[in-house]
Amino acid sequence: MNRRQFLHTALCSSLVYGFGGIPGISRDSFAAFEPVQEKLLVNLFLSGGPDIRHFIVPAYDSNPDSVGNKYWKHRWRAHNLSEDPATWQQRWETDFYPITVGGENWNSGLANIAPDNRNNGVTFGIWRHAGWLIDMFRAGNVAMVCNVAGGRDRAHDLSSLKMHQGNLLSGINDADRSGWGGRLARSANGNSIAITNSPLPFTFGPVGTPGNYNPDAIDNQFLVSVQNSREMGLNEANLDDDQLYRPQHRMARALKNYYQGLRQEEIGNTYEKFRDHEQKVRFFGELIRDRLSDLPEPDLIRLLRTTQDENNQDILINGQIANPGGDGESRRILHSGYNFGSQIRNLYDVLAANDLLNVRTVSMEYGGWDSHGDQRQNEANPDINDPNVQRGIENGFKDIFGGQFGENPNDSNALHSGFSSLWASLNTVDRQKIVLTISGEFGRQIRDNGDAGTDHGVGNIMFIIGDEVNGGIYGELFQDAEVDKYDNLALRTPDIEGLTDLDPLFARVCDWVQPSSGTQVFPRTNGSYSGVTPIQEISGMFSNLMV
Amino acid sequence: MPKTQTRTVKGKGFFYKNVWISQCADVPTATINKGFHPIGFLTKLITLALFLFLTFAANSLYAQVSLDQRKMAAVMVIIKTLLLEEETNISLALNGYQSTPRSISNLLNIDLDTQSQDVEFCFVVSANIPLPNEAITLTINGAQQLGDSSLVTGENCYSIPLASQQQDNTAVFNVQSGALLNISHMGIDPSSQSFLGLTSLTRSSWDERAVRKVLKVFAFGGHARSEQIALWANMRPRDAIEQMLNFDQHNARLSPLTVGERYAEPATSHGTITEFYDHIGSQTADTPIPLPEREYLGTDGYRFPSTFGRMVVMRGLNPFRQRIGFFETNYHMATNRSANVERRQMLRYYDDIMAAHEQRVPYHEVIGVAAKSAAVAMQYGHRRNICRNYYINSEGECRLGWQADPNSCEFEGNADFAREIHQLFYGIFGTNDPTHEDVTIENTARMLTGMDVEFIEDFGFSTEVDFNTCQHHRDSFGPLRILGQDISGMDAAEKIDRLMPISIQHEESLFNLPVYIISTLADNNLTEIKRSQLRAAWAALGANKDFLTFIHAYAISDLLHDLDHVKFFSSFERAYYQANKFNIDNIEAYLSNDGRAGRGFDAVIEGDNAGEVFRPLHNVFGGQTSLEASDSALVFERNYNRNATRESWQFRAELPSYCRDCDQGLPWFKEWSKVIPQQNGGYSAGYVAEWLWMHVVGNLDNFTELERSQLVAILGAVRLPPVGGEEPSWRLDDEYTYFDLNGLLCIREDRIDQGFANNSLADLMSYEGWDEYCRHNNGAYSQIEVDAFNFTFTGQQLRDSDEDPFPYFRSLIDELAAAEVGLDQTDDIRRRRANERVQAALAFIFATPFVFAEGQ
Repeated sequence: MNRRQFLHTALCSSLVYGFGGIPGISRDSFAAFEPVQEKLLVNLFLSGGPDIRHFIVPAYDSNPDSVGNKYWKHRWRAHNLSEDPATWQQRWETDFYPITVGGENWNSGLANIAPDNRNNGVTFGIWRHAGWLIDMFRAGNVAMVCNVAGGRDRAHDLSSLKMHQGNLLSGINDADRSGWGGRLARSANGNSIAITNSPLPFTFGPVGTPGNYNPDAIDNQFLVSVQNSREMGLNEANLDDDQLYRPQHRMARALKNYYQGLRQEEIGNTYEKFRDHEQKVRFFGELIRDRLSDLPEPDLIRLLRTTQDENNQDILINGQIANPGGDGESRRILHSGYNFGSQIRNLYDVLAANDLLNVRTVSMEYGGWDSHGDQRQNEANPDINDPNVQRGIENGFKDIFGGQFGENPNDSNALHSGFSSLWASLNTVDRQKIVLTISGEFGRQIRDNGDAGTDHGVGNIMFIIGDEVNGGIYGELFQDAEVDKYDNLALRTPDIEGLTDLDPLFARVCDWVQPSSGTQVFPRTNGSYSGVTPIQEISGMFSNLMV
Repeated sequence: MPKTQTRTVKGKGFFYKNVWISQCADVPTATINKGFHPIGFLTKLITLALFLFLTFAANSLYAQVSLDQRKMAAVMVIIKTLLLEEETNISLALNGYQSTPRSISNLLNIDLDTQSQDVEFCFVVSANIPLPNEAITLTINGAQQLGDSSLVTGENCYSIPLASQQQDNTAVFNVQSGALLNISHMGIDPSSQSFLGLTSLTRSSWDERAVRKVLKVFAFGGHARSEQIALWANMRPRDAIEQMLNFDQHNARLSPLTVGERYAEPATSHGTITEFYDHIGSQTADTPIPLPEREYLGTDGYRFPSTFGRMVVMRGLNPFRQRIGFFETNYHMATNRSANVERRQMLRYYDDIMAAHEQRVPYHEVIGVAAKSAAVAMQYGHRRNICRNYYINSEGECRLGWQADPNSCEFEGNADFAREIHQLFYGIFGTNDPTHEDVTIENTARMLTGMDVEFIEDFGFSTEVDFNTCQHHRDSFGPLRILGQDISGMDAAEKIDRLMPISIQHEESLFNLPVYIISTLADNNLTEIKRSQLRAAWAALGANKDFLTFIHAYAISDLLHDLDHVKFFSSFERAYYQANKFNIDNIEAYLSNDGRAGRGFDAVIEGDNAGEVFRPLHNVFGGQTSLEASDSALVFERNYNRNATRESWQFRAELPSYCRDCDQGLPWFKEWSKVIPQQNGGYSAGYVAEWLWMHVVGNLDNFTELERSQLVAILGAVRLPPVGGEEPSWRLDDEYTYFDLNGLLCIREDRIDQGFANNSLADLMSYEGWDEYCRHNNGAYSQIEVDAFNFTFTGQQLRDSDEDPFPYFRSLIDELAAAEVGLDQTDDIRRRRANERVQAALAFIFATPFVFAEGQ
């Protein structure tokens, strides 16, 4: 029989994943929503290459030389329209909220940063069912950053890896590098929290200490997974029961005591992470359960994925069923309720326990954006709030950005969708400490592909959202050069040119979360960087991105 | 058990991979054996004289070895041979192998033909007396193998380095009167071997651990019995791997029926996935699945994904075939039922791919089968890719469109699969090809025109692609330049067939595809050096690459078996592996915990949020990855909680060992004695604990005091009835009556508190012990009892601490290890409880870190 080496206590404690970021933690947590203590970043990754150009479009224009005509001329199949321009115009007028830069529906104070002020007077539309996005944009809390390149290779896995790692120089065999969320958390001496089904590479931490870490290696000791915040924890033996008749208690006790002993021993690297899972789940599970025990899930958030409360009663908002069907029955809100809805719930709970978890970055994901075909479906079904209708990529955009259109994006009485339900469930002070970054791995081609979809491209719009964001347009909305691309059939795969690398954009956000962290998280933005530096459409364009 | 014993050969040498490498500068240069045949007394006399001469001559050169010892041993050999007139000589050529068993009652000389390289001489022995034993000895090149290098039962390997080889090399087995030695599987092989350029394990390093590792990684653990595993471990690795991993529909060695199997059909039938689904869904098949539930598990049933799991765990089929089928259809060339791929298309896809594998066609042809499938055409939507200047009218005639150009293709469709056939199927990204996007991908989209999938009324979409030439990009429209080559062909099928051999030899494919295969199937810690070796092995297969040969070469290579190897298990892999290790017969496989028999896997996969079979989590990029599963705290949490379930009824449901009526109305009993061999005529808890650990984990690296103490407590603490009586009947109905170590400590502490100094296992397990102490009196436990329950300890304390209770623990654990589990008891109830303890011990093992991965 083998003997394992006894692990010295100091070494043991340093190996416990996720604990380094919680100095002096107290188990005397109380059941309440703890005010958000430190600024933090929530990153939503839209996997599959989202066609944001489907939702933020140029105004229809009958002038055949205009971008507003060429777009619809080359996009009508992806919008499931006919070849008749009248259907394009109708779609524009019916389904898009128009904003003219510097004009109609444009609020003063919004940023407008583009070469030669080319955005001035440009009218664009935001898909109307993204009501929260419209409201937040008009309130000055959304930065729409145009022409950003994630990966330039048009390959999902490689471009996703680059996005997660925040490293456009990574290759397909460089999966062992840290993620930019993990690096930011480390720079901020906090934890990286994954609320997805499994942690994305975005959350993987670097090896080393804040300010002096190796980004090209992974150390996940500050990564905490909270995949089901309301049920997190390990079964325990309950001594209130007679153990003689409860075999499950005997097993739970044997395992708990076994793991307690195992923590004191050195085991192979392969198995360390599972031992650490045990300790994290047991430890954080107990803390979070205590914190949430008397903190009900807000109805607005619960409604995203289910219609009933914990007592199996229909959830009512102001005495009304929130999302009634044709026969008046209650319906959940989100198409992807059990995935994205659960993540929103997890996010709320993580924020409620932010002090316990020492949260500095949170990772979310929404997939299904690889829309080579059937990009828009069932447009004839008028019940836009029916969560069971398959509407192509429009389901996802509504799940994330939907919400009852109005002047106040935080109106708790409105019909909400993903982020709007969260925003309406938080107070102003807490919201001011949160920034959302929303992006996919690449954009899509500017012409549809004849299969009612779009193929892979490069440049895209990315969103930075938060009360502390200087909202507006960053970059040229519809590049002049694009106009010529539409009809140039010699260009077989025209796309939005990527004029800005993600590095300077996200580095600025990092600096807001943790001052001076941007150059650590994105080394290529450091002035002393000797390699290929990241490009920007306009130098210094993100200097005032954050308040 | 693994053959890790080392050999100490008298003389100079060094250790290499558990084998003592004898440099043998001190052994005679010649012995008695070369050319020695029992052809007559005269010959023997001459030989004796020659031997004596040479022995004395050798002694003058190698003084380290006692002359008297060697001389006497040699003389004994000759005398025995002369007197007993046995046939005693064998010539063994390099790479020669003799599997035929031989019984030796006095002497066997083996002439070892060694040739200009280090070699190892291996064989398997058993004897009528315990080994090692002085009555049975082995002498190699005149040096008797003593101490740790003595013969042991099982496989023995001796290395003979080139530097110590003689002109004539011999091995002599000497068996004294009354002893009997059986020897088999003799072979002499090079000490260094390679396969496709990968360094292979040799027989000395290929052991039970290696076999179990291959089964865990490549066959969801497999169903092979421990005897078969020992047989494979005693074979040459290349011979063993051929038996272990093949694409036959049935592999009786890898997946034998259990003893007395009630449901034996799968050993000869239902080997394809389509057949299996039909079988499971059939109302007339002889299965234990209740009739009303069968349709749910059939092709059209809502439990469609669950049936695949049953195929993996069904004894008589071939879990390796399913392992690769799962890899191909859910990872490498994944299609997704959520992306419009219909059930029959999915099953056809699986079967066509695996039929191609079974035929051992080159791998690019296997990929071609996938690329031409209806499932892929549905998945990516290129079934709608057309040259729209032509159309097919209602009579099925091909017509040119109004004012359309007859000599060009007005392409309509998408470029999704046009990209992924290169990227996902072959690993070609076009990294160094500036024309990849605008030429290769765009032309590939045109290659994929005319691939309609017909909709059939009352059936759905066809399971075959209709390759039409009408709306296909015709060669007359101009060449389709793809990957730098002009691809021509009458229809898409022909063009695909012509592209595939080009793709497989593309430099990016040669670089990426072998790494993808192994990193997805088997290794999460590939270093760049290993990747390079894999690429070289893949390239060495030439233009027509045989996938199975590649897997074989890797599976016996040091890449898989070295200390750096790490394989994390996805939820699917662990769920199936767990079921294979829990289940012992096909009732369990059929029911898979639906009918109170068998270990379930659906709950594992669903509970872990791992997606579904044939609905991969990442769509065409495949299902949940090994790394995702390993990084997920949820996956750990769910697994742990399943094995320590919150509710008692759940706990029992997870670990069924008896069912009153689930065998078509008849009872079913779980009998671990069918698969656990007896040791010394019984089943001691210590032995069963170690057997179970090997059964599940495959090695004893982490089977330490800590694990053993918990397991022997679960297995060995058997509560006893009242002296001279029986437990009350209501007590006999208690299920899962095992104890944990802290529970035993609680009884002991309570007894001490009550003034009892004697607390042996028998004392604790007496009716008056377990029934009266550490009880939930007045609805609560005393503080002493609570402290005992919560007492924690380390392995070091168990080993070394002199503080109470550790000396007591050591004594108790010894008693527990020696206690009989009782799997062979005749009393039905007691035997059931024994089987429950085994199930509980397995549950414990499956909650440790060591079931989530394979590595060091």
